[in-house]
Amino acid sequence: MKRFNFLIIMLLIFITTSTCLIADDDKDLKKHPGYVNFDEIDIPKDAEETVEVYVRGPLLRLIAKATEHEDPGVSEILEKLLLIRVNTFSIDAGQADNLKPKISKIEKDLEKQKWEKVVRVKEREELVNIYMKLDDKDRIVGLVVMAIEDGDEAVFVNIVGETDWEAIGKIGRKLDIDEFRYFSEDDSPRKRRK
Amino acid sequence: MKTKMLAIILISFLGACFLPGCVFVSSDFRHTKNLILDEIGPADVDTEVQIQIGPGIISMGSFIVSFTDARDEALKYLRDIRNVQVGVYHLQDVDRSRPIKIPDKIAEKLARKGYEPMVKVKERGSAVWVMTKMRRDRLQSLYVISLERGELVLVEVEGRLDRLIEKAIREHGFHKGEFMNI
Repeated sequence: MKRFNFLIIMLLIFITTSTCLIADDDKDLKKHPGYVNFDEIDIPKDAEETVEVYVRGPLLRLIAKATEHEDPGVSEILEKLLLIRVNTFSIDAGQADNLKPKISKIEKDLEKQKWEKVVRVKEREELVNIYMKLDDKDRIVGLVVMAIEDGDEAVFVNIVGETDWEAIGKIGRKLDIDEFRYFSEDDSPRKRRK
Repeated sequence: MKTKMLAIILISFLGACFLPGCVFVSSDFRHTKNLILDEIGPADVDTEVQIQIGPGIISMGSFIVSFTDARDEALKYLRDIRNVQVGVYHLQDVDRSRPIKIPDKIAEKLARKGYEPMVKVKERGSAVWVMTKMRRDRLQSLYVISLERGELVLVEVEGRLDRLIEKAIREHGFHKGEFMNI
């Protein structure tokens, strides 16, 4: 009986500590300067099409390790990332109007936190905003894409971790994120400076 | 000699079948299926496949495979799998007025088991979820739910999946399409 109680206690300790470890990982991630909280962006319950991708560091490192022979470039990029979060969902014109003020609020917060706006496209039916967070050594440590197309879809992307311009383009091509077309090698700030 | 070998195989197979965690899917797996079916509403459900392949049958499979030509290829994958549960259900007369949706309570339920959502896709008439369970930096389990108007598929794979995926990608490539959602 004593042994049984001991086993139960050990099991409870294991469950509690493993749950705490997961929670701690999430807390650390949320404190990262490249992390952006999209909690205010609710995916409409009646959205016909939605895609939610949430891939964290350990899984990214696993994919990196697995692809190091196949695609060493992508593997190196993925290894340094802590999170890839993609939310896309279909919207109608009314929902697009509801989203715009929420995007403006996130934009204000990002600007307060010294994020750099790198792309802004504002057309009649399309709005694309891309922000980058740089660290003291001018390395990109976070990236945010917020795009809406009236009556079509909304796209929210957050990439957390150390990366660079060309790498973002490669990730975009790998994950089919159309908004990342702006991150081609030719558009790299380094190349433009030359 | 041959008869002895056959007897060993037969006894091992029967033994494996009666080991707990073999053949019959867990009640938890069935509960997940029922929660999804409740969300769909009244429908005719035909179970096409509902099976659990536990450690006993996997060991048995490894043993049988070791006598075949494909032993090297198959054994290196089987070694990393601990348990597999698969359910394929054919759905008929589904209420077309209800949207095809995997209920959020499934995410909550699986989260209690340590699963985190990796990919959730909802399209007109179909939905796919891929949930993962990590332990330290290892991928321990994978749960895939695919729901269409005509079919529900549930798959839970447990084992050293990081090693398994690594081997699979190394040997068969990382092509767009196969891993498009990762």
